[in-house]
This record gives sequence, C-alpha cells and structure tokens, in this order.
Amino acid sequence: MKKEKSVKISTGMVEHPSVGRIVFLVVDIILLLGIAFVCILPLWHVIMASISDGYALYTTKSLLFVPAGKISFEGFSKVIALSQVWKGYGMTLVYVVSSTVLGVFLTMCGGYYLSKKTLWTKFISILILLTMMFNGGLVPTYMVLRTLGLLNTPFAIIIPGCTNAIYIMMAMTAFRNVPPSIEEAATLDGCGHWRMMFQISFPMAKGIMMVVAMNCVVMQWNSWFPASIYLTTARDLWPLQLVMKELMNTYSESNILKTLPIDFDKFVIQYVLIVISTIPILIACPFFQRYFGDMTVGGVKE
Amino acid sequence: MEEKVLAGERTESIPPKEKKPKKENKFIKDFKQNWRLHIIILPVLAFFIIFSYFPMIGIITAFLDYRPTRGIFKSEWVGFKYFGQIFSDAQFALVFRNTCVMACLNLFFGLVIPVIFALLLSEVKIKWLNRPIQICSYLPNFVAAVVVCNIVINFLATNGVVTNIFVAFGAERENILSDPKYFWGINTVVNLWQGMGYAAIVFTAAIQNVNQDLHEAAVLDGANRWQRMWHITLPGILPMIVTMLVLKTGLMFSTGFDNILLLYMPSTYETADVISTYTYRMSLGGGNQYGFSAAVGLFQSVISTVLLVLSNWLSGKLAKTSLF
Repeated sequence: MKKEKSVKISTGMVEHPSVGRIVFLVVDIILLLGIAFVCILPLWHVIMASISDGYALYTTKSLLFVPAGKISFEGFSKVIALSQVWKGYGMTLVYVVSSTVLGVFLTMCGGYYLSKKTLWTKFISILILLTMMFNGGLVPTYMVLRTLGLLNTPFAIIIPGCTNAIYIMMAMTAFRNVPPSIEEAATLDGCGHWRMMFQISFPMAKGIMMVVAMNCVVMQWNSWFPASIYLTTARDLWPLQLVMKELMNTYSESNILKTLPIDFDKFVIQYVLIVISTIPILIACPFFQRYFGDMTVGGVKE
Repeated sequence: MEEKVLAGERTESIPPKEKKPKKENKFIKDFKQNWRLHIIILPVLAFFIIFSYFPMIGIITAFLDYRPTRGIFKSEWVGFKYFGQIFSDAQFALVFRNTCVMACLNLFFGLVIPVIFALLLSEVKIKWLNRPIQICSYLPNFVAAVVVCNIVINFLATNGVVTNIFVAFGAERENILSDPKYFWGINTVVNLWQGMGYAAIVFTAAIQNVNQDLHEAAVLDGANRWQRMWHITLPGILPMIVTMLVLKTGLMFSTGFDNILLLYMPSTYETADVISTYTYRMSLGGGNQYGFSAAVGLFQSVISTVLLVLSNWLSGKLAKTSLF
C-alpha cells in the first residue's frame, strides 16, 4: 500500500516523451514481454501436453500452444489411480505444515531475542552467523541424524532445514523496526517476553515473517534430496517430489517404448504429474505476493 | 537517501568491555537480570547446536578411516591422508574446475541479468503491463527442481523440442544433455530461467525506493535518462547489489546442487561433476568412502568461508557496504 502511494507521487514529475524515448519504451516492452513469454512457455507446454492425446503427443515434437490431438484426460485418470502419488501428497502436506510452523516459531524466537540488546545477544548472534559460513557437510549431518535416531522418521525431513541464519537475521531486522515505545508501554502493563513476542512484535513484523513462511513452504514443497538420503527404507514417508522423481523414470519415453504393446497414453503421465505437483504451489504464490514488498535480504532494509 | 541498516552493525554498538576480569561477572549479572529473555533463545540455540555444530564434530571423520559399523571413536586415525589424496586425485582437479566455472557463471549471470531486468521493468510505468510481466518472470522460481529438470531432459532429448530447433539450424541430432560440451551452458540457462525473476524482485523494490527528488533535480540539471540511470539509480541500488553479491558468493559453491544431480549423467561427468555431487557420490550415493568425502566437504566449507569473508571485506572497502 505504502509503496504504491510513493510511486504515484513520483510520477508527479512531468516529462514530455521524446521520439527516442518512445522507441526505447516500445523496444523495452517487447523485450520484457519476450522474457515473460520465455518464462511461462515451458510451463504452458507442460499443461497443454498433460491434456493431450497420448499418441498425438508422441508424434508431435514441437512446442505445444494448444493440446496435441484431441483433448483427453486419460493421463489424469491414470495418475489418480496411482496410490503412491496421493501418499506422497499427504506426506508433503504434513512436512510443509509442520516444518513451516516450527521454522516460523524458531525464526521468531531467534529474531526477537537478537533484536534485544544484552551482553549475550552479540555472542549468540555470532554463533548463529557462523553457521551461515561453515557447515559440517553432507556426511556429518547424516551421521548426526543417525546418532539421534531420526533416520527414516518424518522428523529427519521436518526439523533440519526449517530455519537458518539468514531467516533469523531478516526477522531480527524486522523486530528492531518495532517502535520501542510500544514495547515499553506493553512492559509497563505487565507484558512478559513471550506474550510480547506473539501479540505485539509478531503482528508488527508480519511481512517479514510471511516471507520466511513462504520460503519454508516453497522449500519443503519442492524438496526431494533430503528425503532420498534420510528416508531410504521408509518409502511410505516419501514426499511427493521424490515419488515423482521415481515415477518420471518409470514413465520415461524409453521405458514406455520397452514394453510391448506400447501404451501411448502413458506418455502423458509425466506431464500430468508435473501439473498436479506444481499447480498448488503456483496457486499459493499470489497469496504471498503482497508480502514481497517486505522482502529484505540478509538484514538490509531496502 | 535512506541509510542502509545492516544486520551486524547495531550489535556492534554494544559498549566494549574494558577490563577482562570483570567480563565474567557481567555476563552472569546480565543473565540473572534477563533470564526471562534468554529462555526464548534456548530452542533456537538447541537447533543450531544440534544441526549445525554437532555435524562440525563429524568433520573429524575427514581424518579417520571411517567405517559406519565402527563409529567415530573406534575408527582408525589416518591424519591428512585424504587431503593428500584430494590433491593428487586427477578427477578432483576436474571436479574443482567445474565447480569454479559453473559457480562463477551462475554468480555473474544470476546477478547481472536480474539487475538489467529490474532496470528495464522499472522504465515501464504502466501498471497493468508491469505486474503480469513480473509475475510471469518469477513463477519459475516456485517450480520444483525435479519438475524443471524433467522438462529440461524432455526438451533436450534426441527428439526434444529444443533439439529440433537446433537441428533446423544445422546442428547434429543428438541428446544435447549427454554431450559434455554443452553442460555449462545448459546449467547456466536453467538456473537463470529459475531464478532471474525472483532475484529481480529485491532490485525492483530497491529501484522504487530510490529518492525521486534526486531524479527531479537531475532532470532540472539537464541529465538524460541514461545519465540518471548511471548516476542515480545504480548507486541507489548498489547496497542491495553488493549484499546479494556477498550472499551469493558465500553460497556459490553449495547451491545449484539439486539441478546438477538431476541433470548430469556418467557421460557428462567430465564437465558436470561438482564438489557437492562428487561428495555425494563418494559417500551416501554408493561410494562409501566417508572419510574422503568428509575431507572434500571440509575443503569446500573452508573455501566458502574464505570467499564469504573476503567478499564481505572487499564490499566493505569498495562499496562501503558489508553484510556483517
């Protein structure tokens, strides 16, 4: 809201466009439209392919602007029949929700704490910052999880990546921008730290916290690698992306062509999988979009 | 212009402790005074100690002949054997070269193109055009790596969409992805497609926040658009660019791992294999050389740290902006 206003004021400056300026703008707009086009073209192709006819899809090997052949939902009905896809969906939802809640809570605690000035905060902020630069690496992290007995449990996916030093630094900056007078007033009214954090600071730093939440959601929704090393024997716990990765191999073109007679409807399955796994996150992102304005990086306020 | 508020800067305003002996008392006194506040950090501290600091203990496996069945304490101590092995390993030299090349390509294009895009976008003041373009540009960021790479694999297959275009221009028909000489380019383009719009968001916001009075003053002084962009907009968003540069430099060796792991294949190892994929293959990916892999991981960590500190120091010197 605030940003839009300032833009309006800024356009108060009147400049008469010259010919060169108009040419530039036209070229600029065409270029930008081209970029936007390239960005969504592959996604459009996938969506069109997912509702194509299997055989027509196999024979046409160009970009699809409209579905190849007759519109068919054969692929969707085939995927709906795959039980592991729905299991994966369920697990991904569990991971996304729990990891985001935990991540936002930890980020809020860290940010709130570091926004206060005590002797300990500096020491602890260095401790947290160090983790940004130096980490144990793949194998040591794996061994810690194994020692803790977290391998092949959902916690191996939920806990380790839920927050990081960058999120906490972002939250810290946001909490520092909360006017001290409000916090003082609350303290005088007998408000403790926990209550202050949840009921006063958090609502005032909501934008940044939403950005953190969004990052957690997107990260978890799209993650497959941790599951592939931490959940090796617990296939029931696999998130959607890992299930997809495997199914993509099963239904790759060369694999389909191996089995005779060739079932051409199977060519559509890959695309259907992409569509059903991607659409939810694409629908969710406009919801977060109004908080993008609050996005700051590494504590730098724009 | 609004001064940039930096993460670390304010913490440094704590008055330094003058005398050493008093230090401990101060800390204890502070703890007693603010223990209610300090309780809040406990879960966070526990998180970082368990998932960031405990693994650092595991780095010790880089000096051990680690066998999972024996555990850390019963494994044999081999000292710097693995580090010697790293530097004499011909494959590691290739891996290291690939890591550097791809990280630099990603760093350069991943920073320059979003800035250019944001500048171009900010010139168009038509809202109904501006918004949809921006939304389209950052949508790919939300698409999972598995999906993106699958699309890439399909497009670049022997009879894929992109291959067909190349063949139309006279190239030989082949699976482009299996040809090592194209891998760097493919990886850069894929990363750019995924991240360009999202990276541009912060720059667009920064451009909007540049003080408009400066532009008006410059117009009155007869500056043209180009001069204004060069002398007002760019310096205005420089702190943001520098911050992103420092952040990306620190992370340059550890990001992009997912894509490579999904896109490479044995025939492209010579150009596609990077430190993180190499470590993975050597250890959990089936190689079982845990000690060697931990040594490589440590090597990578040290380089990342040095790069981060160095770029932070440089940006502090050159642009008067540092991250911490």
